[in-house]
Amino acid sequence: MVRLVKVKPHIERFPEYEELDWIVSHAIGVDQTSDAMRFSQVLAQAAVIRGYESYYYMRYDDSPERNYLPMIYYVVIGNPKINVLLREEIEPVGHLFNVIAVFSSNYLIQRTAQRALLFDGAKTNATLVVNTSLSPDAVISLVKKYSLAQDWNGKVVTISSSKIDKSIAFPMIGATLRGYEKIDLDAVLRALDILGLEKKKDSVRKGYEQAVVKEVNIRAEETEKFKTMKHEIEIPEFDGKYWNPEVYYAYQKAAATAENYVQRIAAMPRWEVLAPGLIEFGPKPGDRNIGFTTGEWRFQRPVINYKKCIDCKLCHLYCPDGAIDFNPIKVDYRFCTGCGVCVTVCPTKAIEMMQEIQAMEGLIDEEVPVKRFEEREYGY
Amino acid sequence: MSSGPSLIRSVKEIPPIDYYTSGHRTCAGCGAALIYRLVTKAAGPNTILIGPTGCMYVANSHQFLTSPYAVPWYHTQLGAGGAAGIGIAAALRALMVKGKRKPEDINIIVFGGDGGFADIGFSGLSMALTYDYPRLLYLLYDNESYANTGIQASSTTPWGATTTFTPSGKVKRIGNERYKKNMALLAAAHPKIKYVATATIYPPLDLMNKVIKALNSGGPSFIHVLTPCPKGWFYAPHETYELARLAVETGMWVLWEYSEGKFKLNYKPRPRKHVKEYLRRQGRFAHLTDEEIDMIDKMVEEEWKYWLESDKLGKIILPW
Ligand SMILES: Cc1ncc(C[n+]2csc(CCOP(=O)(O)OP(=O)(O)O)c2C)c(N)n1
Ligand code: SF4
Repeated sequence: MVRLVKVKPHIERFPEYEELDWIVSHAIGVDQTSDAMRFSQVLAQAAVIRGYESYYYMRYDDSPERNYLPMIYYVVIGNPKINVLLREEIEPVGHLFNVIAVFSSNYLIQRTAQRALLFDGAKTNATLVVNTSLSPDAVISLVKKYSLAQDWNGKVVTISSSKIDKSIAFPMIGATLRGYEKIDLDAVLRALDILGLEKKKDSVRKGYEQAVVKEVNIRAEETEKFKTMKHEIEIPEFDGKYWNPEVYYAYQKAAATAENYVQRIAAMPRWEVLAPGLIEFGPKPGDRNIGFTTGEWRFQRPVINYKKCIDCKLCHLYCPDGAIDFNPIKVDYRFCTGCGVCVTVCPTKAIEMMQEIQAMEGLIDEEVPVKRFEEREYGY
Repeated sequence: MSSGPSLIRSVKEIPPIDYYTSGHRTCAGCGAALIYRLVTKAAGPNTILIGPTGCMYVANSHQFLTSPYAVPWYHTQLGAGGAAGIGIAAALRALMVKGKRKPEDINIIVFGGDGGFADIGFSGLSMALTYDYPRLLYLLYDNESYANTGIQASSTTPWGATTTFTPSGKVKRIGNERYKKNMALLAAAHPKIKYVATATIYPPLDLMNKVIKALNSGGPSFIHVLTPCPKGWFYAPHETYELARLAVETGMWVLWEYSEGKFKLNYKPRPRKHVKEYLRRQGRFAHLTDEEIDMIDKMVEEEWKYWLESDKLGKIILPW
């Protein structure tokens, strides 16, 4: 038997960074990388023009950039000298974020690249900027349902960016200025000149004008997560026995219940539990690796119409993530990344892609498309 | 001639269990992950996998100290795949000969990228192919670039492709100006090699059956697998299967096998589709003009004469 112990996640790790302003963007790996990069680059440049120290850097879900893997860009803005530690690209955890820019609305309901829920680490007066065709009210109700509990007296800004420019970064920049005062439109326009992006001035202006802004006032108790979130997580106790698969798998089970990044790290197996040489235990044949689920990446999901399914097994054969059970044919949504290969191999067109936000909430967001290569910058 | 290993005849017959399972952070739609799955499915549980550095190492291991492999998997440095395969095969043989381990058939499969096998680890691979260890398969998953480090050109990157080392730009419009190296032909140049093949994920069972044949061939074997890579080839992830199919149907990827000194084509596209159907769907070729694409089509047409001739003779003729 494995004994479980309780650990409390300690979120406030870097109090000195609270003096800084942070703009965090959540975007879909590869598809939206160039957008999140341009967004952060321009805002950092504009902050410098206004006399602040500023710096931007990126982070993926524990990996180099990969398609659909959630990614994050951080912009740090502030007067205190940004110190060396920051330049090592820290993962800010704590009440830090002033602006949370969401490039795809699935991050309102899914975990982000930090394996955290939105608002894990936001300031109580933060501005949430979302690239979506949904209304601010719809966004607020999603926040109440899916985000991490907290008091929030800030703003929601929504913008349907791709209607303005296929580089959605620029309308998003305009929209952000409606909820963040340290940077103004003038500074951004000058930044665009410096960066050789003067053609995008119009998109920024339009984003600024067309953004829909709404003040929010939510008490933590009004959010569903506040009622349900476990503030403690149970992890296995190391029993002194090295290389113990039983304890290892218990860690994995604990990890599957983690609610945020700090809890997730706490539920990482201790090295003594691994085999000598840090050898990881894989899943038993027939199981999946529950210690690292990828379903959180998904902005669209395949839905099988069993009336049309002829059980040919091709979708099982061709799933790059092995997320479709062989018998019976069934998608394991804990792991499906929503790539859509199954749709292209199905001979009877029994599989259709549905937006994640539609499957979960019955909403349709026109800003959740798959991008063609013509709409992205190569190399970012 | 012996009756040979039993092959998979229909998709419904594939082994249902995956030994490379869900729970890894390769791209959505990653062709290399799919190939890993299919190959390990075909090889079965008595398999040791070796992975030189590349996407298939970095994206598959150490995510919160978990792993998606249900069979032993071992990481080697980028250039060391060839030697690691030989080392493990030799160790197992020694243990069995000395009676320290019960004799049994254990598959050793080394999955190298094009960087890992065609460039950096080429010498080790070539050395390994001259040994006599059975059930030792070297599998090159060729995503046509060093993908993990951000898509740099390798010697299997096709002519014209944009990569971060060969970006198409105003001064130099054509991306990569080198021609794609044919690794399977090089492998076939090792005397007495038992089994060499090319494959991709289309047609459905081709790759799995080639793996079964390779593992049962009685010596080291080599399979060169074309691997669609949405990030590096710059296409939307759901097109992975379609691109593999088009690579075969346009004749840009030739499916053949070379077994016991006999060459055989496995697929003859009739009629062959124009290469534009394959190239125009990928962002890395977006800068090529129609004339350049026609030129590639002519080159492919010319090569195919030799492939067909080789097929007729059962012997390899160099197509250039
Ligand atoms: C000797 C050595 N040189 C460079 C690297 C850095 N590196 C890590 S992964 C990688 C790319 C490998 O490319 P490839 O073998 O084609 O595999 P892919 O990433 O495409 O799957 C490189 C160059 C390394 N790990 N070792
Ligand atoms: S870059 Fe290519 S090979 Fe690497 S994980 Fe992505 S799709 Fe797979």
